[in-house]
Amino acid sequence: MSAIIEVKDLCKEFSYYEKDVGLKNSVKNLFLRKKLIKKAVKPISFEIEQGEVVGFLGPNGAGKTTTLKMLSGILYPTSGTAKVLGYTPWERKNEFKRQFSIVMGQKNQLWWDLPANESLYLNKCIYEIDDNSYNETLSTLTELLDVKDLLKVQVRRLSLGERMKMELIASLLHKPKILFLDEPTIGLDIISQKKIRDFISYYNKEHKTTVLLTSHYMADIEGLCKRTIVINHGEIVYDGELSKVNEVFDNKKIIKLQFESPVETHLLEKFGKIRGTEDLKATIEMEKSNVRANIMELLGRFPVNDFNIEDIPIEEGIAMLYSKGGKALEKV
Amino acid sequence: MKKFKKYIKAFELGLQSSMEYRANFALSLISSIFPMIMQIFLWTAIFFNSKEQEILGYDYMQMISYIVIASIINKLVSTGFEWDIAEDIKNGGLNKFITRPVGYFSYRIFSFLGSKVMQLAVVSVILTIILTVINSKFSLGITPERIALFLISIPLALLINTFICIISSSTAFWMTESWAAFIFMNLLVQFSSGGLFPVDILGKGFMKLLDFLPFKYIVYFPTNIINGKLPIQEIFTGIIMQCLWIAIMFILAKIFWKIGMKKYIAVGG
Repeated sequence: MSAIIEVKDLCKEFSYYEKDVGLKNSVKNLFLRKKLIKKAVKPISFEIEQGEVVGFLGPNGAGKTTTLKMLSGILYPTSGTAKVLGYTPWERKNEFKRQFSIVMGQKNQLWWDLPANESLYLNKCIYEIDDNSYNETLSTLTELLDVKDLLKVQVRRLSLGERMKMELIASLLHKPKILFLDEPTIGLDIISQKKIRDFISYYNKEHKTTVLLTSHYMADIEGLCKRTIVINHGEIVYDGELSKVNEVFDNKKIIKLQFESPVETHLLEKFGKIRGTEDLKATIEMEKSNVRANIMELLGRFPVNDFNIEDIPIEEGIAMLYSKGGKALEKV
Repeated sequence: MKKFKKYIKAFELGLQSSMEYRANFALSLISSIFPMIMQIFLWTAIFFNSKEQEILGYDYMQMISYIVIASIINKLVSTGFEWDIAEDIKNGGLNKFITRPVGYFSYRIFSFLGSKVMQLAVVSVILTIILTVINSKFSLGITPERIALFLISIPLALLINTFICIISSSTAFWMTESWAAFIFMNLLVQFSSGGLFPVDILGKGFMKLLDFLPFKYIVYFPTNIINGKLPIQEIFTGIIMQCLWIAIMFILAKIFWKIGMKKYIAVGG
């Protein structure tokens, strides 16, 4: 199958000003502003196939939203090319716009003062959806998300979670082939997050819609995306299955030990990096290949009454990817 | 037809939104009376302290009736959605239009016209009453022909104002805070449109300058159609000028927006 989204060397720079603290510098800035360039997205390339759910993960300011904005045609890139459904997004062709949707968790797209069904109906008109198809889609979606009773309520009176559901419905009325979601679960409680997640997952399976989402919540990405693209400082530092993130880190394992009587810490140092000790407990990070030999030795030499072998938690792997920053790692 | 339906809906939503806030609507009507009352007091004082019957080509009654009619027309053709547009530019509200198959311009204009309907209806009734009263007392010479031409000139004036609004809102692309630009533009339009006083009292030189600008076609021109000051022939030329200005400003607005859009940077990363 050919790729539905093709991105090649896409790059975006912003210019901005800097001002030092104080009135003196404010006056200075009034006359002379030094223009600085920030590379929000350094040349990145990737491809996404139809029906995939891909997660964009990265710290604040990594360039996730900027990338989504370029792919949906909101921003012109500084250089590089992108093809989405065969269209160049920033040409903003109407035929292209009819085939995708973007939902931004932090931005409201509905009419604040009017009930949600008015905004939904406006979307019906904008996308030129016929009555039958509209009614059918609307009733399916409202049932799935359990918001049928809320359609007539003023949007401003809805809770954040309810509003997000309405936003999702508004974005899916025209059955888009691609759905861009920018932090769809931001600010929601755990249950609402899960509901939104389940819905996206279900919808993707039913309609084979390609979903590209950004999130800060690991649970969103873990629960939804087989493939994750980690971005940091505008560069792709990882592209692959989330569960395999740690393979990047030289196959390290964590051994947790519980002793019967106190053991001197320095005696443990030869087995690997000591991550922490506490009363009768110790955590050691070591090479996977040494685990067998080390365990044997540990059990033989020390009064161990319990032990655990664990993977490095994904969060930690991601955090390490974040902190490594500029240096892109090998793709898995 | 289906293509046009979105704009009808936009119109309808604008109308619904305007009806949501009734107190705001009533207050905005009442507040526009104050400048008019101020003007009446001012000109009354000027006329009663002068030995001349006529000042700057107007006698007392002519001046007062101009001010009353012009104030109402001013309200009739007022816009003011540049704040909404600037807000959209500043806070990224434009995004939802960029990513959807809908024209921002047309959408805004239709939604604005929708929100204007209530006001138009109420102000038109007030205007009709006032015109009938003034006409019966001082005989303005209102003929069906003048009423017809007046009714053509008002929507055109509203369109000119709308495009001025769109053009000045495009400053928001270059300035993050554009309220000063809006206030400047507002004062300029208020002053030279004839909404405050008949602009011809400023002299021939100023009128020459205004001939090359669209502003006097907003209030001064329609007011003079209905109060009988303009000869019929000049009304026709005026209406052609209005159309011309609409065309020019439509093109200007398009150009500004095209450049602005290139510059547009959606906020937040």
